[in-house]
Amino acid sequence: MGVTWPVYEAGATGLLCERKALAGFLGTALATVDTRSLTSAFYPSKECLSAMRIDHSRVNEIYQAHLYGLCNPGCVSQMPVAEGKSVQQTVELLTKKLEMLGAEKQGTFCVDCETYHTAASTLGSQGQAGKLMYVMHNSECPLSCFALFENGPCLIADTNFDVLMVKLKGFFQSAKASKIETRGTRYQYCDFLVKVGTVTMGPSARGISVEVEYGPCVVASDCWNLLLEFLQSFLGSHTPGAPTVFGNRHDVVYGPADTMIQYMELFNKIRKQQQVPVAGIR
Amino acid sequence: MADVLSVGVNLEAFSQAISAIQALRSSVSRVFDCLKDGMRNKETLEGREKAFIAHFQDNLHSVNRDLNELERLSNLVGKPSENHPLHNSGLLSLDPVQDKTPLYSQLLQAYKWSNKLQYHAGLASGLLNQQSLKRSANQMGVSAKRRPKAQPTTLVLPPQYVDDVISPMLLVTLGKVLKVIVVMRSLFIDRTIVKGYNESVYTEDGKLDIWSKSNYQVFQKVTDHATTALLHYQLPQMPDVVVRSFMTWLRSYIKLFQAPCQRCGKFLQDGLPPTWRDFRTLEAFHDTCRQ
Repeated sequence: MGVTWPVYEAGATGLLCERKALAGFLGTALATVDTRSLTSAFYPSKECLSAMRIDHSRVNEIYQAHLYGLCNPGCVSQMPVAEGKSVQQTVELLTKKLEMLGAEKQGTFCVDCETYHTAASTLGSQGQAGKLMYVMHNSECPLSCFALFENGPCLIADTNFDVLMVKLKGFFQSAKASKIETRGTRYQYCDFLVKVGTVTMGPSARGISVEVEYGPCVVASDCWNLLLEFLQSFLGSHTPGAPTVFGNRHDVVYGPADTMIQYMELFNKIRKQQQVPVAGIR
Repeated sequence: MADVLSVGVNLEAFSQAISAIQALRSSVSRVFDCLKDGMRNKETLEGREKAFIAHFQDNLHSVNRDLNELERLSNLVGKPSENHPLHNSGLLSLDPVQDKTPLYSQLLQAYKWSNKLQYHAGLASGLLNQQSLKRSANQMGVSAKRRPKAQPTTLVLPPQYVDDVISPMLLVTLGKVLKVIVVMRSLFIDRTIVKGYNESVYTEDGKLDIWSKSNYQVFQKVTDHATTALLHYQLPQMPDVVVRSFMTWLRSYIKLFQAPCQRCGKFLQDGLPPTWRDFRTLEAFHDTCRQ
């Protein structure tokens, strides 16, 4: 779409997101803060929408098409670094295996994550522990921004959310040196999309992420067996178990939030691991 | 032309009517001649007037007599037959310019020819159906489809028939697995296209897009299999059985991503799940695994 959102209230910008998700998200995020003044900042007013020539009733439809991108069932897992090899060498081994299978390179991808925690000043007298919020981006959905809590709701909004986070500095503070990202190449094999990326925190490489998406399927639980067989063909013994988001949800359509939750879990796992040494011993 | 008009026409009365017209014309011209000549020369003016009026009345009486005679004869002549075998197109025969536009005779010939063709095609299909239809005999299958289902005795068809022949299209959604666009041709299935559940089946205008293929290889394969199924399920006399068998076969794809191949036991072969469904048992096989 490529629209620029006009600023319509003092200091606040319009944000395209789903109203229900927004309510749940705000509820969790700012439980002790009066959110009424902020709600209007999050959801575009009717004037704002008409200025962008978007019909108010169509917002959800546009939201789905605009922000979801491709939402195919996918499995995100970590590939352990091979013994006696560096991260880069392991990645090369993997990509060679894929190319031998017959996969074709198709550009690059990037998934990044920043951590915020609710500022101490907003906790009031209840003394709640600061909740962690993750703000993530995925190059597969370039127009979107994902905000999630560890066990809580996930909000999918457009990239204005980043701007909003700057304005909400009083409520959310960025954790120091928390930015973690994975970058790598995309491979296409038949209807499978494989993304092998190097996970980095700052300047150091901390691990390898492997994501496999199966395009034709829409319900995650249907195609787990297919994904598993494919993963086994090139990951061998490092094949992961079924992701928790697949679970027992029969007939539930997979969404991009499910992928981001998997990435969040992966990043958390890698953050807790020890740093991979540069030479040799594991 | 003569055989169309002769039915119900009294030729004798017809010729008499023509002579009656001639008699009427001459009596009318006698009236005008009398008026033109005016009064004849007689001794007195009264005599002249009387003679003129008497002559004039005689002429008018003869005109009246001839007109009545003509009316009587015209009622005897009768109308040409309304039972044209081609209804309104029979009126084409009244066009006198036979040499330049022999439309009607050509029309009659074409009609007789198409009737004969239908009759022979019916005989041929009866003979061919006695043979078993194998998959390799694709041409037979195709010709059986193209034959019309009914044998109309005349070529007078209601306008709805024309609308039905312009292909209706169905959109079949199978669970959350796939969508199928089925293009019909009267009561037979002409083409199918299989697409993913998340793919768009409409063009930008909002109409059903019946031409573009799926973006996924698995659904392109299933489309090929569905086309094979169309050729397999053939029964010219019972199109409803054909459609039902095809739909039952199609419904077996609800487990497209969940069923392993019955032959090799695996889920994937060359990156594809088992896309073939046996026509009798509906079991799942890989395309390369089927017997």
